[in-house]
Amino acid sequence: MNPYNNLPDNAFWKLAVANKSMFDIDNLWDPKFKIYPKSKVVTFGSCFAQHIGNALSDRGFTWLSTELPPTGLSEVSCKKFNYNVFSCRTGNIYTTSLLKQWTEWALDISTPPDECWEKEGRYYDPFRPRVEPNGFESIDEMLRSRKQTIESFKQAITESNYFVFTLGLTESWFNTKIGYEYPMCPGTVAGEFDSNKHEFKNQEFEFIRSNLLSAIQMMRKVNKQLKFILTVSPVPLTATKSGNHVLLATMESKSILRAVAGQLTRKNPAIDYFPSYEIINSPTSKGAYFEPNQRSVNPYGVKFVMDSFFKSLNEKYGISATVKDKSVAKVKKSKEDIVCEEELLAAFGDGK
Amino acid sequence: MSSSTPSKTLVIANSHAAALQYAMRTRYSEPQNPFKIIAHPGPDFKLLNIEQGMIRHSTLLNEPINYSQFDNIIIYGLQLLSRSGGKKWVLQVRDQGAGKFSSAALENATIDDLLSTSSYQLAKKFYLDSSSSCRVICLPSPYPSELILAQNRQWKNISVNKGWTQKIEQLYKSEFKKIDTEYHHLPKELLSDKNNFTTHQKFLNRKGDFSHINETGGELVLDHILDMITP
Repeated sequence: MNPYNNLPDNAFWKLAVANKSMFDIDNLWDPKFKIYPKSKVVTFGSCFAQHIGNALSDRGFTWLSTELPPTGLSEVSCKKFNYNVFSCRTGNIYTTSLLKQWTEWALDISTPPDECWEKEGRYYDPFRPRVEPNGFESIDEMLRSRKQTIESFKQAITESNYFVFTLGLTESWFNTKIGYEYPMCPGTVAGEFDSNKHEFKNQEFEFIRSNLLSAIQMMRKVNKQLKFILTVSPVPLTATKSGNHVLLATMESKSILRAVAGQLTRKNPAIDYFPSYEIINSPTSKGAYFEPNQRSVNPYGVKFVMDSFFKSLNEKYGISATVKDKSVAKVKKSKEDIVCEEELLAAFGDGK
Repeated sequence: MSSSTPSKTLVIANSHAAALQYAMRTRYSEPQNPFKIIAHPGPDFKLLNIEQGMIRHSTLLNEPINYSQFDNIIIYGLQLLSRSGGKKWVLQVRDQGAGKFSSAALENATIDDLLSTSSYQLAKKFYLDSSSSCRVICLPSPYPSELILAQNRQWKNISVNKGWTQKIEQLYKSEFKKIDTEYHHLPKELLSDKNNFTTHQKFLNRKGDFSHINETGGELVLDHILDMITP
């Protein structure tokens, strides 16, 4: 007898992987939490997180959006203006230190600076530079919008049951003079790069781990029931400042983020990890879930990841998810339609 | 209002045609009536087929209409500005005064909403049918009654951005111009002092109806139309 004798099939590569088709590899996730369709879930983080919110909504789960678009804004324009992409308009929160920064602003532990980036007469929020497609019309409008997002982020923390966070990057940019972090290097989308105050930092394991843990602890202080599901973005870096080849930088960065997520998940019953990164990136997938640029995840990959998420929930807890058929519109006369018919009958009917 | 004879006009409308019909009946005896009204409740008129100078639909119309015989086509209501019993407009007014949206987002929302209306979609069909050179004019639904704000506790303190009605007019005119269509707001005399709602004095006194103006309101709309179409 040895410790491997009684292990289940999924502990052995040959049985769990090599002898199976890539589509039949299962039991990758053993969900810690019983997420009901009515459970309120918020999603933030790197860009892959937006697929989780969409998938939850499409399957009848409660994806909580705390910053709603103005009435009438179409789905296409919502994407353009970053409504309903994440649970509020934070834009991408690539790093755990950025998550901590947003959390501190939301919980009044610190206040955001008034810094604003100007480009061709329009104003950009350094902390959400792509949230408004053509920038804001004034600094005041930009600051009001940011305030709204911070309030909405607080609402997401206090009103949700599950906080899904997708870890995206280790590479980051800080303003060393005042001590805060940007999601993008100043001078890329807008703003101006100043080597005297803008500093690159490739975050290491302990920095990432402690910031994430700190953010989680702050959030659980105001919402004790809040649980976390971590994922790592499978999307490779678009560019690196590390000095390494971008492929090496990608693998190193994802490995560190994955290790942080693993350690926190093992040690904390309120944190789970969902393996979207492995599903897309493992050798078994043979790169099939990437677009030809080998960076963007294609719709089949997104669907496969999200199907795996809901399949695991169903297998463990019997919670089924059904994709809503958006093509079937409800045909039902509203009270207003009935009032309108009466109105016309009276005017055009036989009482002329 | 001009004393000349108004040009021949086809009015295509939803339930808002009723108040107009009352006003026309008072004003004109049938042979002199320059207007032909076709009306159907709700947004269905966006389904009308407009081709080769004819308006057709197997169920919405009794018989095809040769619209090229008219000088003007007025599309009245059909979800433009206010729909869903006025509730959607209240939410738009709330958003416009809330101060939490960028002006670009609000403008996009206004245009997206316009493009989704039956009114716009029908006007576009006339634009795409090159067989007639009728003048096409779109008029919005009346703003909901000012009394609608009392229906919901959260609406009572809505901050009204009075300048927004002018902004909407500019945006609508500009979008409609792209499809060779004129847009005009309804007459100012219908407005309450809140500006973005209709005064209750011009409204039907019917419980739960915040969408439909009365005959007096209809007369104001008729005069407004006559100002546009009388040479």
